[in-house]
Amino acid sequence: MHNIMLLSRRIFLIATLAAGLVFGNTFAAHAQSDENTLIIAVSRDLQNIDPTLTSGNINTWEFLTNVYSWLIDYEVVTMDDGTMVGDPNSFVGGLAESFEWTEDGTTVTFTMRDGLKFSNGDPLTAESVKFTFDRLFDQQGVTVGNMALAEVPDKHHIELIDSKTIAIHLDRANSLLFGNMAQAGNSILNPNVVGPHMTDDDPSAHEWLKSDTRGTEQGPYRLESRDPGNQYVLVRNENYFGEPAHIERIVFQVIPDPSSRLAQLVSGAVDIAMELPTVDIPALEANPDITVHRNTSRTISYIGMNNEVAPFDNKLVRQAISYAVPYDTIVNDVMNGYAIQLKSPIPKGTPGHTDEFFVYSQNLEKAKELLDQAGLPDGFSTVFEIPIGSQEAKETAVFVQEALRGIGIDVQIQELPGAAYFEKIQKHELVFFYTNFWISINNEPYYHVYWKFHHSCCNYANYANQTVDDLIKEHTISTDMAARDAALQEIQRILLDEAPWVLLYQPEHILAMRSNVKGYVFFSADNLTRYQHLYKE
Amino acid sequence: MSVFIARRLLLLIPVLLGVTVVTFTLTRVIPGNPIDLMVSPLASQETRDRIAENAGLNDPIWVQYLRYIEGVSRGDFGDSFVTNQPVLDDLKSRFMPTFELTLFAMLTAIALSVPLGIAAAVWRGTWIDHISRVLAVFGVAMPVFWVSLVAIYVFFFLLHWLPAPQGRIGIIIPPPDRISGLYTIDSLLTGNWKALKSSVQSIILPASVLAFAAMAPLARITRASMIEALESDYTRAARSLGLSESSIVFRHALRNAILPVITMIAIVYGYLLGGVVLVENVFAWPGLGRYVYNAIASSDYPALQGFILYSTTVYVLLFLFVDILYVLLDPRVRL
Repeated sequence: MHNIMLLSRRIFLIATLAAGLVFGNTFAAHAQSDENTLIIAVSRDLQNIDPTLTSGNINTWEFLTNVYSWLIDYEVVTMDDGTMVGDPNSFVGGLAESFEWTEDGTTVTFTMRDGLKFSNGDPLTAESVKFTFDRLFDQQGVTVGNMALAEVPDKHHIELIDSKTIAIHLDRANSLLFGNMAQAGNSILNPNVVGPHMTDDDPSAHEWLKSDTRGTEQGPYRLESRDPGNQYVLVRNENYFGEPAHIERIVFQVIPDPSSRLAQLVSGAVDIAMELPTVDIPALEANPDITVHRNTSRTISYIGMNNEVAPFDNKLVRQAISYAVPYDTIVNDVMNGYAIQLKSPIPKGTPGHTDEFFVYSQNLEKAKELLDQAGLPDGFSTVFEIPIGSQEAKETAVFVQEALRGIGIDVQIQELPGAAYFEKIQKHELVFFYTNFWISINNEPYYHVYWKFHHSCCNYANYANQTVDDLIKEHTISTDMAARDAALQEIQRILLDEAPWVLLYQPEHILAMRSNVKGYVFFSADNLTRYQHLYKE
Repeated sequence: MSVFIARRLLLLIPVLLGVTVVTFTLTRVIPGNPIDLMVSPLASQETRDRIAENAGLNDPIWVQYLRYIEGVSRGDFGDSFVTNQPVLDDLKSRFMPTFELTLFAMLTAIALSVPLGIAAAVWRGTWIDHISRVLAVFGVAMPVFWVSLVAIYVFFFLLHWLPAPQGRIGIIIPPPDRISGLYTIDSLLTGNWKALKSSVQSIILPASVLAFAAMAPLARITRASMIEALESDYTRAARSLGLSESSIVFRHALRNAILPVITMIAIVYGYLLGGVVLVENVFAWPGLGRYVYNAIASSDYPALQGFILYSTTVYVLLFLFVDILYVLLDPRVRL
C-alpha cells in the first residue's frame, strides 16, 4: 500500500511542475497585435464568396466589400459632430474617376481612372468592366434582379466605348441604378484570372469564385490565407487605387460563442468583436478600454401577419393586435434601449419616411373593442413563429404572447430552425411571425416598398392592395420627384391604416472595439465596416 | 486473428450502407431547404431552380441516394453547401484538431480516473472513496458547456493563467510545420518552442473540461470492477498465501479488473466525440464538432452525412480495436 501513496505523491509533484511551466506567464489585458495588425472576433467562417451569387451571411458580405471595388462608391461625409459616415444616397467615383448622365437620364458614361491594377498587377480597364457585366448577366445572379429593376435588362445595355470608357443604357430614366452599384454584386473581376476557370459546365466560373478571390481583387485589401473553420486573413492590397489602408493585416478569427468573443474583447486578446448580445453593451460602454459605436440602422423588425389567412385577413384583427403590442417594453427591455421604434414600414433614414400616420400605442381596451367589431369577442388561438437561436425574437415573442393574452388571443410560440424558417418565410407559408433580417441596401423608398409590398419575392405577409400596387407600379420608374413623394405619403397612410405588419423597431448597429482603434466610419447602406478607414493609436 | 479482423471490416460495409439509408432519408424529411441559405432572397426563381438543379436537389430521392452512394464509393462525399469544399477535404482538415483534443482529454481522464478508481476500491469508505464519488456525480451532472464557460471565466478572465479561447494556437502565432497534424507533437518534433508553448496552453482548458466529463464513468467502473476482483476467491487465496498487498492489487486484481475498464474507455471515447461539439464551440476549436454543429444549423446535407459516416466508422474500428486488445490482455479470450 505504501508504494501506491508514493506513486501518487510523485505524480502530484510532476503535475505541479508541469503546471508551473505552463502557467509561467500570465495572459494580461493587452492586445496580442501591434499597430499594423487588427484581430477581429467573428461568429462564423466565410461561406460562398462568389460576389454575384453569395448568400446573406454578414461576414461574407463584409469580406467581399473589403477586397473588391466598384465603378462608383458611397461618399464619405463629415457630420456636424465630427464623425464620418458613408452617405447611402450620395455617390462618387470609385474605379471610375467620373461619371456623367445624359440630359434625359437614360445613359450614364463612366471614365475609368488611369493606371488601375488588380491585386496581381494585371491592368484593370473598361474591358474588364464589360467582361464583368457580361458574366453577371449570363449568370443571372442576384445583381441582375436589381439591374433589371433599374431598367437595364441585359448585357447589350452595357456598352464598351474604348478601354477607358464604358456606358450603361437604361430603357427608361429612373433613380434606382446607383443604389445597388456600390456593392459587392458589382465587383469588377479580372478576366485573366476568372476567364480560365470558365468552362462549358460552369460558364460563370462560379466553382472557382465561390471559394477564392486571389488575383482578381482591386479593393483596399486582398485575401492572404484561409484556414477553413478557423480564420481568414486579409492583407493590404498595394495595387489599390485609393488611399492605402492604414492597417496592414486583418486576422478574422472565428469564435462562435458570444460570451467568448466578449471576454476576449474585454481582455484585449482581440481588437474588435462582432455580434455581441445587447445585454452586455452597457458594461462595455462603461469600460474606458472599449469604444462602442452605435448607429441607428435601417434594418426593420416587425411582426408579419399573413393577410390572406383568417383571421389575419381581417383589417380589424390586424389593427387590434397593433394596439395590443407593448412597443416601449420591446424597445427598452428586449433591445435594452439599443433601438428606436419603427413607425412606418419605410424606416427612418430612408428618404420619404414619415411617422405622421403612426397611431398605435398599447391600448388593450381599444384592441378588445376592435376584436369585438371583427366578430371575435372571445379572441382566438394562433401560433407565433420565430427563428431559433435569436434572443431578440424569443423575448419579443414572450412579451407579445403576454400582451395578446390580455385581449383573449391565445398565442403559442414556436421556434423554427434557421433553414426551416427561411424556407417557410420565402414560400410565404408563415402566418403570424417575427422577422428582423431585412435592410434595403438601396436607400430608395420605392425600391423598399417594391420588394416588400409589391414583388412576390419578399412580400412575406402577402399584402395586396390595388391602390398601393398601382402607386408602386406608376412611380417606381419615374423621374417626377414631386409626384413620387406625394404618392409615397399616400402609400404610408394606407399601409399604416391597413396594418399588414405590426411595426416593432429599428435596431442600432453596434460595433465594439478597443479604444485605441480609431477612424471607424459607419455605412448605413449595409452596416458593413470598410476596414481601410481604421487605424491604431 | 487476421480472418477475424477481415470479417469485422467486411461487416463495416452493410453497417455503413444502413447508416447512409437512415441519414439520407432523415436529413431530407426534416423541413428546411438549403437553397434558401445558399442564395439571397432577392435571387430570381430561375436562379434558385438552376442551383437546385446543379446540386441535384430536384431529382427523386432514390436517384439522389444512388448518386450519393456511387460517389462515396469513389471517395466523393459531395460538396458542403456551406463551405463549398468537398466534404472529404473538410473532414480531413478538421479531423486532426478533434483527434488531438480528444486524445489529450482521454489520456488525462485515464491517468486520473483509473488510479482514483483503484484507490477508491482499495480504501473503500475512506475520504478518497468519497472524493471519487463526489467527482463522479459532478462530472456526470455538470453540463459540459457550462463547465467550459466557468473554466474560461476562472482561468482566463479572472486569473489570466491560460489564454483566451481562440482555438488551437495563439491567433498570430504561425502553426508548426506539419508532420502529424497534431500541433503539440509537431511543434515538439520541430523544436518550435513558441508554437509548443502556445498550443499546450490552448489545449489545457478544453481537454481538461472534456476529461472531467469522461473521468466519472471511468472512475466508477474501475472502482466497481476492482472491488469485485478484490473480493474474489483468487484474491483471498493470494492474501492467505501472504503476498504483499501491492502485489495483490496490481498483479492479480487489476489485471482481471482492467477488461471492463477498457470497454468503458471505448464507450467514453465515443461519448467524447459527442461532447466535443459543445466544447469546440465554446473554445473556438476548429474541429469536427464545430463542423457538424454548423452543418446541422444550416441543413448542410452532404456535410452531415459525411460526418455520420465518419463517426460510424470510428465507432466500429474502436470496438474492433477493443476486441483485439481483449485477446492480447486476457489469455482466456480466443478469436
